[in-house]
This record gives sequence, C-alpha cells and structure tokens, in this order.
Amino acid sequence: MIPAFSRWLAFLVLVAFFAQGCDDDHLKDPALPGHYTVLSWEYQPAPANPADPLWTDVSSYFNSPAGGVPYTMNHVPIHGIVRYPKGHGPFPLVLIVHGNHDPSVSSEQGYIYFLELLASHGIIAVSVDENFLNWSGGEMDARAIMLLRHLQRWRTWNSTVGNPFYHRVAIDRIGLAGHSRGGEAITVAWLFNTMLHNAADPDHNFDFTLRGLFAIAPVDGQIVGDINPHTGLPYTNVPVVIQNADYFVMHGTHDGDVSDFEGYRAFDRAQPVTAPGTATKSLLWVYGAIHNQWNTMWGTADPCLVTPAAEIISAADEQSIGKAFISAFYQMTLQHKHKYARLFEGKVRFPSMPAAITLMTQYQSEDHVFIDNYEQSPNLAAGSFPGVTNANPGGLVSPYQHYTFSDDGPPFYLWEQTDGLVAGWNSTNAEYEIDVPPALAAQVGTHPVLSLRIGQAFESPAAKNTPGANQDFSIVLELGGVITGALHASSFNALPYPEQVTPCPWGGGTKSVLQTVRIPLHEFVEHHHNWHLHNLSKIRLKFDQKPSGLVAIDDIQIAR
Amino acid sequence: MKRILGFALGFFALSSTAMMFNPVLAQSQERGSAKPLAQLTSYEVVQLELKKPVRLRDAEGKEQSYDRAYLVNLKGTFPLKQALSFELFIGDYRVPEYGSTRDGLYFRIYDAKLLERLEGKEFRYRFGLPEIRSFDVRFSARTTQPLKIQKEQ
Repeated sequence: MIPAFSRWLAFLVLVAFFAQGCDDDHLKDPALPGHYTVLSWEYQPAPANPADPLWTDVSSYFNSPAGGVPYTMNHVPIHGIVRYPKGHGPFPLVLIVHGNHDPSVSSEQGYIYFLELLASHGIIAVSVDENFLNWSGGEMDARAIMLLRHLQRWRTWNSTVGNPFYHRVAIDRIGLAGHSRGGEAITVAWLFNTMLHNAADPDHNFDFTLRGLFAIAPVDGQIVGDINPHTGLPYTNVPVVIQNADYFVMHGTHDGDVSDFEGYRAFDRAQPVTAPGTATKSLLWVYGAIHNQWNTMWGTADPCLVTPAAEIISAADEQSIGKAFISAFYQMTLQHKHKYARLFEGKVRFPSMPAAITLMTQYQSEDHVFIDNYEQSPNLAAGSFPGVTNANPGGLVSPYQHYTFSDDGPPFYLWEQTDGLVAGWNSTNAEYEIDVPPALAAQVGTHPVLSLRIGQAFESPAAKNTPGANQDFSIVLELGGVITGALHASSFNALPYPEQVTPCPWGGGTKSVLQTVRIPLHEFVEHHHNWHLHNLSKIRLKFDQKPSGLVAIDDIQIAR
Repeated sequence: MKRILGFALGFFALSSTAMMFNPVLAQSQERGSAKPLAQLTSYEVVQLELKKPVRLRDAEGKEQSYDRAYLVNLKGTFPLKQALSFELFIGDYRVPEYGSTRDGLYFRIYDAKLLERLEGKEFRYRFGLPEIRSFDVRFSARTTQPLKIQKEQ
C-alpha cells in the first residue's frame, strides 16, 4: 500500500509541477540570463591576406563609401562579434546589425548586451560590422548582401570538419535582427535570400532558412529605387512584404530619428491578408523610448529631441525592455518556446519591464481566419469572410467610416499602411454588429480566440476621447437564440490614450497606435454547459463603457 | 532677396563654365520652408580616371564597361548622419548612391549621355517629408575648357 501511495504522491507532485510550469506566473523572465555559459569570439579577415575568405566584394551593389572609410567596396571585411553558448549544440544562429552612424564608431559593439543574453539562452549571437556602409545613401542592398555573406561563412564553418563550429550551428534555425537602417536591411536580406539566390554563383549561393526577423526602430522603403546590378533596373518586390518568417517590430513614441514609425508599414504589409497564414507578426510600441538608446554606443540623445522630454525613459529601462522582447522572440521562434507568445499578446509582463512604462502590443498568430480586415472593398457592410455582414444599428456609430490608415497627422494620426474602420460614438447605445455565417462559426473550435486591433484615435483638439484616460468597450456574442454576458476589452488589454509628442523638423509627431485585444471565446460560455460556441451567429462590439469615444479598428479575426 | 540671389546664382551656374572649377558656385534657398533641412552651397564636376574599368548594366540590361566616370562633389549641409534617407535628385533623375565627404557629399555618373541629359536641371532633394524640395541650383557640366581630370584614389 505504501509504495503505491508513494507512486501516486510522486505522480501528483509531478502533475502539480508541470501545471505550475504552464502558468503565466511561472514563465521565466526572458531578460534574465539563461543557464548556458557564454563564450566569446570575434572573426575578421587577416589584413595582410587578400585571399582571406573573410574579405568580400559588394561594389556592384554599392561603391560610394563615405570619406574616411578605410576600405574599397570590392574588399570589405566580414567582421562579427560573437557570443555563443558552451556546449555541443547545434544552437540556433542570430545575426544582429546596426544602422547608420559615424563610420569611425564601432556600432556593432552596441548590442553586446543582446548577444550575451541570447547566448546564455542557447543561441549563437553575432553582431555584424557594417560601419563601412555608413554616412552614405543607396547602400541598403549592400547592407542586406553583407548579412547573407556572413551567413555563408557560418554555413561553411558548420560543415567544415575541424572547425570549432562544425555541426554546432542549427543552420535551419536562423534569425536576423536589425536596428534603424539595419532594421530594413534584415527584411531586404530575407527578400534577396531567395530573389538573388544562385547556387551556381558562390557569391550568391544563399537559400537560408530564415525563421525570425526582429526589427528595432527600423526604416522602411529605402530599398525602393536602388538599382539591381543584375538587371540594371530598380529592384522588384519592394518595399518588402515578409511572409513565411515571424516578424517583430519595436519602436518608441519619442524616436527623434525615425520619427515617422516606418516599421509600422512593414508590420502592416507582413503576412498579407491574401496569403495563407504561415508565420506570426508582432509589434511593440514603447512610451518614452527614443531611437539611439537601443545601441549602447550611440549615446542617450537622438538627432531631434522629441518632447515632452520628461517622458523619455532611461537607457537602462529601454534596453531592459528590448532584452525581454528579443530573448522571448528568439526563444519562441527558434527554440519552439511558444508560451512566450503571451508576451507579444500583451498578456504577461515581467519584472524586467518597468511597470510604469506603457507598452502597447500587437500580435497576429500564424493560424487565423479574418472576419473583417477591410482590405477587399470600401463597403463596410461586407466582411472579409464570405457571408459575414456588418451593421451599425440606428446609425449611432458616427463616424462610421472605411478609412485608409495612412494619415500622418489630422484627422486620425494613424501612420499605417492598411485599411480599417474608424468608429466614434456619443451614445452608450452605439454598437458594431457582425453577423457570422455558419461556415465561420464552424471554425471556432480550432480558432478559439476572438482577436482585433483597436486603438484610440488622437484628435486635435480633444473631443470624443478623454486625454490621458484609457478607453473601453464591451463584447457580446449571440449563440443562436442565446445572448452571452458582456466582457470588457479592458479585462484583456488596456487601450491607452495616445502619447502626444512634438514632431521633428523632418516630420513625425503624435501617433494613434492600435492594441491587439485577444479574448478567449470560452470565457463567454463559462458556467453555461448548454451554450455552444459553434452556434455563434453574431459578434457585437458595444461602445457602452465610456460616454463617447473615437477608435480605429482593424483585423477582426478568430485565431489560435 | 535670398531667392533672387539664388536664382541669379543658379542662372550664373548655367551660363558660366569657370564656376565649376571655382568652389563658390551658388547659394541655395528652400522653397516654402521656414527652416532648411539641407543646403547646397557649391558643386564641382571632374572627370575621374578609374583604376579598374567598372561594368554596369544599363536600363536595357546591357552590360557596359566604363574606364572613366564623372565625379560630382557637392558642398553644403546635408542630413547624412541619420537613419532616414536623404534622396538627391537632378531634375527627375534620382542619384542612386552617394557618400559623404568632410564638407558635403559626392556621387559618380558613368554615362556621358546621362550627363548630357541632366544639363540645366535643378538639384532637388527629399528628406523625411513626402515633398521633393529644390536647392534652387541648376546642374551644368558644360565648359569651354576640358573638365579637370582626377585619378581614382
């Protein structure tokens, strides 16, 4: 009896242990170091050996270096700083690349704090030197080619008997991260990886498995107009539309360089609505973050001071937030730790992320079914899923407007590259009603979350939204003849008021950024065993929590 | 007053060939902007003897080889140290690439026909904002004397 009891006890302890491990409260703070011992390495060509394979030629892509750059573009170094985990591996590989800065500054050293963290979690992390491309223009393609040339070296080392990295690199699990111009370069590298791949040409034998792209305050669209040296014409398929690789972008409200949040456009284009979902996309909007503080070599001031300056967060806080997200992103995308999706959904917050700092998140899982993405037509009555219809009963939602979210100022300050719905109200009886056809209801079993992007629209002067106050609304389902109780959006994610900031001389200013709200559908039917979600016939967004409001809405979907 | 001066100097740049060899060529002035984001004070065109021929594809996809290029040096204030791109145009031609110098920027033109096509066109730029702005300076490589020849470093 006693041994049997002991076995049961051990079993119960194990069950309790694993149950705990699945709980959000026990998700490990990804900004904390992992358990791997971190080792250092640096690679660069031997100056006296022109045949060193760590020299490469990018002159066909770019041949106008800034004065003082000590290289000609047909002879530039493949130079990287490496932090890697002690062990046999194979370990995933992440390259991170800087953007435009003084070419005499070693910008690649500014991300060592990321490298050390990633390596401690079992990832080979490399910061790439592209300083020789700085303080110039028309070099975006060369920035991308350099990343691919680094990856070629890593593939060679991984397959060379006797090399210290022989069979230690998980070459099928590669991530790219980039800051500023480097943030666009990683998307261009993703494009060139297939578009310029030529197995017969050693300089263009790419075809890597790129799984995760992490963009830090990126620029967007600089590749447009660059000339493809293989054709003599501007590149096609630009600006880049990321597919089949997870994409993340983070940006600060007080960015005084890329003051127009260009990465928002790349985010909108990624995983396009016309293609089957194969990868995630996510976004982080950090109140008070600036451009340069993500790189420890770039100081604590941007080219333009975005005010109110008192709202600017410290470099330590900014980097701490960056550490949490880059670590979670690559653990999720390269190490299959899918539970970290909770961070990108805005469902968890770790001690490394200072509680006083407002963070807005957007997240789209790879597996989703659109109800309304507003891309098919300006007719608001027709949804994106066949048979979905939308209504504005009594006309109480006003404005009720199909809108291209690309205004970089009045009336709605949306700064995006997508279409959506702008909805306002002055009556708590206002509702947005979505009629759901049976074919969509049949999919809620496999897509158990209702998700939408929604955010307060900034108004100048303030009218419908209250400056400084969060917005809220309710969601109700109709399940055939059953009307469920209301759930409040604020129970799932906050909808903060936009941070009002000054523009730089070259543009920028206040932005109305959306927040993804994800509601597990089962919460509507809890404690009602005879209510069935497959009877879903109507979704009602009831604007009954505040007397007035003005919001932008997009990408209503059911998802995993 | 400044606009008149800019126009006058721009006209002078068009009509004078010696100016290209004299660094003080023209003053630029923003159109409709309170604060200039970039200023072009002068420019110079020289012929560059290349160390090695450069092969480039033209817009028809044909590979062309050049053993000489035209090097255009611009002096002034240009926002080249930021993440956002500074786009430089001569007329409708977008300069595809350039590098910064101590006091401005430089770029190369390989095709003599292009050089001819750009004659008399305005230097313009775009930075941050959607609109393209004029420097109020016109490009000219015509001269009564041969262009100065410089060897590639």
